[in-house]
Amino acid sequence: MTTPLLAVDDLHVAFRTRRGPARVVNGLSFELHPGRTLAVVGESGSGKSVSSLALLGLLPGTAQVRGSAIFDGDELIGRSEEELRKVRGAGIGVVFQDPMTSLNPVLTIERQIGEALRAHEKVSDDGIRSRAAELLTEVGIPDASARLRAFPHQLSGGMRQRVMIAIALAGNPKVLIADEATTALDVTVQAQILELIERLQDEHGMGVVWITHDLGVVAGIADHVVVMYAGRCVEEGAVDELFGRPAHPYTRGLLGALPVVDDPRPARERDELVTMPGLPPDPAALPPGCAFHPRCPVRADARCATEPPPLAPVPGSAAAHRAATFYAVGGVSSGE
Amino acid sequence: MSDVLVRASGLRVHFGDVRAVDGVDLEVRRGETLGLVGESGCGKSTLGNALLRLVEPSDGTVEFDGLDVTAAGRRELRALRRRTAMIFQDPYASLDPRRTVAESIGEPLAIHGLHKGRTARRARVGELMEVVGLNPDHGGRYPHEFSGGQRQRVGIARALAGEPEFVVCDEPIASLDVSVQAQVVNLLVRLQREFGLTYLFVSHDLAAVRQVADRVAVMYLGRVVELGAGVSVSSAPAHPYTEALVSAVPVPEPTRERTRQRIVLRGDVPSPADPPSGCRFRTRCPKAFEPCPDHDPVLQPTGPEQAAACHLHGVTDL
Repeated sequence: MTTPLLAVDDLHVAFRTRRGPARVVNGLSFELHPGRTLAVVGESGSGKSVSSLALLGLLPGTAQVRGSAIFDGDELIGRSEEELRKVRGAGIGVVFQDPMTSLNPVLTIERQIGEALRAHEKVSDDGIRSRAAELLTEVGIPDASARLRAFPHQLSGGMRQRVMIAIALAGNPKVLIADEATTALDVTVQAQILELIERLQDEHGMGVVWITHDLGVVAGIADHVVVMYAGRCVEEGAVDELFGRPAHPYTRGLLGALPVVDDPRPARERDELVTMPGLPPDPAALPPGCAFHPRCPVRADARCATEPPPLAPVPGSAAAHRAATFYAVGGVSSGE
Repeated sequence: MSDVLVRASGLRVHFGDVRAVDGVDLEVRRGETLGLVGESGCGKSTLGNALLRLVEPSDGTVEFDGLDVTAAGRRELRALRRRTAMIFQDPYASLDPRRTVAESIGEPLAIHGLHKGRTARRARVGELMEVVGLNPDHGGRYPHEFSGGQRQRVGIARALAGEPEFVVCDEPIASLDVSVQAQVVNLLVRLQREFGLTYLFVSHDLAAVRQVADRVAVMYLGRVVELGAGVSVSSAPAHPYTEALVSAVPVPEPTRERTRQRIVLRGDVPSPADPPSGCRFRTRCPKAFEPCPDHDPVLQPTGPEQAAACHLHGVTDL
């Protein structure tokens, strides 16, 4: 195995609130290797976005971050703002969900890409213009030199997201974090952006961390998947393994909740979608034991309510397939 | 009794230069769920609003149960309003934050003079809350005290208050988490069967539409470009736009998703203020040919229970 580009180990993030600490990330670990795509999947409040913001030092002062994140040999956690700024962009590029709030509405596209370029190298104005045009062409924006003079509102949502990707690429990053990068886009535009990121990854050999709630997207692009619930990784594994033999009741619930577009049965002959009762827990009042146990359809053991299950290999599966449950499906203690 | 409950003919809704809906003929059959899919800006929400006359059509007519909605006077319209309802995407924006949910759910009862008297009304509100899976004891709470999924249940209870026959569900699950989406989809299906409702289910999510809709209409740039049984539209699309749309929906199965042929459309959707001549999809269509720039295709039958507006099935002109 190669040395990981990014190795996150036992990451914890808590926010101070009036009701006490809100524990949003509770011991997250993962590794990202060059040229690979790691998908971090979860619903709102699972901690998936907060963990990436923590790596980049982009959380507000109320956040307390513990643990370790080694990027390219260097520790990121606890670094100064100035040091992290160098890492962001040159080392790690980020693309967020909503390009309209990430882009400055009163600056031209050229200024905004230029800012990113200047942050990493000394270049002349002409140099910037031609490099910016090159980047726009690379992300598939036609007529790049004319688009450089445009303002964000003059571009479509898909074009704006391409600009964000161009900015993220400006420093030739080794890691690209895509945080719900296609969530606000229409599916046909999403297909364009997925194709683009795959091509860029092939050409540049970047490692990609893809943070999303969309399991369909994950199935198409990920090598390795981390499923998060209440700030913990509840299951991880190679993409085929995780979708083919989901072991954690939460993962199984998520997959069952999805309608299947090409199910040949008409709507009236279909079964109801699988649902999980209730809601994810409040991070300021996490239940004891397994955080999923109040909603868990298996939950056959008093242990579930008292002891947090460790992330352990799923019996009979590939080594990298691990789940944090006493009742891994196919596991030894399935209770049957 | 005709089996058509709602019929739009030659319907247009223009906002200044923007032709949001630009010549739609569509029928919603009694008791069915008609899914209306399309991407941002295709006019699907405007069409849903126009069917309930929540926006004024610029041209064309809408009939509800044989009655011309577009020509209805104030009194007729009020009677009509009781028989129709709308479920919105974001119940947080559609519920009054300063009213308890019981007040919001009870408001249509007051407006339409149903279940008169405090006790009767309170009982009916409790019943509605129970029907949508909310605890009736929580009627005194405010919208912010509920989760997104629960707020959507409040929105549904409010929509059902007047015992409507026709409900437009406008992106009812778009802002919910996956596990909550499934709860709301199941609830909508159950309510339809229980009360014999007719739905127009407006959504950008083709997989969700397939889960609930008997028939599916696909919109592009103000027009319905394909219409048919849900199965046919998704498994044998007759319009190249539908084909691209179906192929772009990610399937949560890794081996299939990696090997599947994805049709990636080039370019952006043209402006609805200045749609292309002839077929509106031709500027992005991988199958465009000679007649497309000059002839505006008409929705024509392509199979049993399926129609598409595409010259590949024979050149037509509107």
